[in-house]
Amino acid sequence: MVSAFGIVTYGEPVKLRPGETIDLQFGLQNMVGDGSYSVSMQIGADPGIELTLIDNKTVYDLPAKTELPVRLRIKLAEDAVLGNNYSVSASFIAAPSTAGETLGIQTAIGSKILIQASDFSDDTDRITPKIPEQIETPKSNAGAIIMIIILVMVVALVIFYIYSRKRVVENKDNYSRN
Amino acid sequence: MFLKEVDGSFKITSVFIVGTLLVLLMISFVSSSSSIWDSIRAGITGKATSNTFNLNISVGNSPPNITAVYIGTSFSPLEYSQRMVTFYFTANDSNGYQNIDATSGKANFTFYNSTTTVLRANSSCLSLGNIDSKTLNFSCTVDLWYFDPQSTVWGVTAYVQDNSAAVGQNTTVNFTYQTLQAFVLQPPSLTFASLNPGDTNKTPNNGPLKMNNTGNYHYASNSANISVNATNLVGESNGAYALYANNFTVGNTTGGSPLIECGGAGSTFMSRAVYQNVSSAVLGYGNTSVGTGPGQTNLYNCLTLAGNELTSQAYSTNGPNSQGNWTVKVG
Repeated sequence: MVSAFGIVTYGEPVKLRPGETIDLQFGLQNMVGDGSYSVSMQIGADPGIELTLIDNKTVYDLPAKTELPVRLRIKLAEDAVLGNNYSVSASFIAAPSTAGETLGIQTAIGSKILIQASDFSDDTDRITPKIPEQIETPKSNAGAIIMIIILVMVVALVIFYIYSRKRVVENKDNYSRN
Repeated sequence: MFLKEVDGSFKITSVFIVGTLLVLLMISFVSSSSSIWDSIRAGITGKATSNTFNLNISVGNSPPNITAVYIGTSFSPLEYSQRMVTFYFTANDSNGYQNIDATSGKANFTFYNSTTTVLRANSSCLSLGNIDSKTLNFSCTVDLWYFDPQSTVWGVTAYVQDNSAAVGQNTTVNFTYQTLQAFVLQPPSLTFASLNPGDTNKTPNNGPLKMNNTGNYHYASNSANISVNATNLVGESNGAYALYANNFTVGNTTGGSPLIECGGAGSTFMSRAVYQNVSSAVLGYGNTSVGTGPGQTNLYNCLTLAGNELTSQAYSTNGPNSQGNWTVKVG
C-alpha cells in the first residue's frame, strides 16, 4: 500500500496581456497503486488576479489510473505591470479512501502557476497538455477527390437535363409542324 | 418525367453517351491524368525522322524531403511511467513515393542544456501509406519518462531514407514537456510497539517514511520544501490524554546513540497543525526504479517522550477523538 498522486503544472510563466482572461488547468494524476483518493484543493491568487474555478468545486474524486483536469479561469488586472509575475497558488491534499492505523499519513502537494504580465497572451491550446492527447493528423486528399467527382457528376446531370429538355422542345416543334 | 416525350431509343442512347463520358472523365481525373494526355499527344505529333542515335541520360536521385511534422505542442509526464507521444510526418520524394523506403522511418526527441543531454528514440516508425503519388505518411510513437526534464524546447527529429539510402530529415519542430509534481510515500501509516509512560526516543517499527519522486520536479529547502504537519495522537477511550505532536521529531538522517533523528542534528521538533520544514531533506528527480539516486529520500520520525501522565489505552490519529492524519507535503 502506498500513498501517491501527482499534479501537472506549467513549467514556465504563462504570458497574459493586462485585462485579458485565460483558461488554464492543473492536471491531477493517480497512476501508481490501486487506491482511490479524494483530493481537496485550497487555492488563492495574488492581488491583480481574478480567479474563477470553472468546475465550481474544490474536492475531486480521483480513482486509480486516472487523470483529471482542475480548470481555472484567470483574469489579469488592467493595471498589471508588464514583466511582473503574479501567482496562483494551490495546495492539494489526497486523503486515501481507506482509514489509516496508529499514525495515519496523508500526502499533499503545493503547486503554483505564474502569470507574467506581457504585451501578448499565450494560446492556452498550445501550452496546456491535453488529457488525453489529441494530435492533429495529416489529412488524405481522398475526400477532395470524391467531392470533385460528385461535382462533375452533378454538372453532367445538369447538362444532360438541359440537353434533354431542349430535345423535347425540338421534337414538339417538329410534331406540331408535321 | 422529363424524358417521357422523347423517343425510347434516343433516351437510352443519350444516357449511354453521357454515362460513358462521365466515366471517362472520372477515370482521367482520378488516375494520373498526365499519362493519358501524354499518350494522346504522342499519337498526334507525327512520325519521327529516320535518324538513329543512342542517348544516355543519367538523372540523379533526389533524396526524400520530410515536408511536415504533425505533433502536439505540449505534453505532460505520466506519474512513475512513460508518456507515449504519437505523432505523424510526411515524406515527399520527387521520384515517387515508391522510392521511399517505407521501413526506414525513425524519430527521436532530444533535450539539451549545459549539463544534460536526453535522447528518446523510436527506430521503427510505421508507414501509413501514400497520400499522393509522391508523399508517404508515417506514424511514430516515442516514450518520454516521468523523470525527463521539463522544457519548452524538446526537439523533434524525423528521419527517412529512400531506396538508394539518400536521407531526408526534419528538425524544425519543438514541443513543451510540462512539470509533474508527484511522489510516492510508503508506508501510508506508522505504528509503534507498546509504549510505557515516561518512555523516550521511540521510533516506529515500520519506518522510515520512504519518499520516491515520481515526477520531474526538484524539491529542496531553497526551492520547494518537504514538510510535515503533525497532530496529537489522542487517546481513543479518554481524549484527555495524548501523545503530543511537539514530542515528535522528523529528520532526514538516522543512527547513532542516542538516535540522531530524536532531536539531533538535522532533525526538527514538530508542532501541532503546523507544517514543519525538513530543511535537510532533498528530493530530486531521476529513475527511482534503480533503487538509489536523487529521486529518493527517507524521513525518520521519533517520539522523544511519552508523558508520565498517560493512561493505558490506544492512542492514534483515527479514534473518536481524532485530530486528523499527519500530512507529508512537498512544494
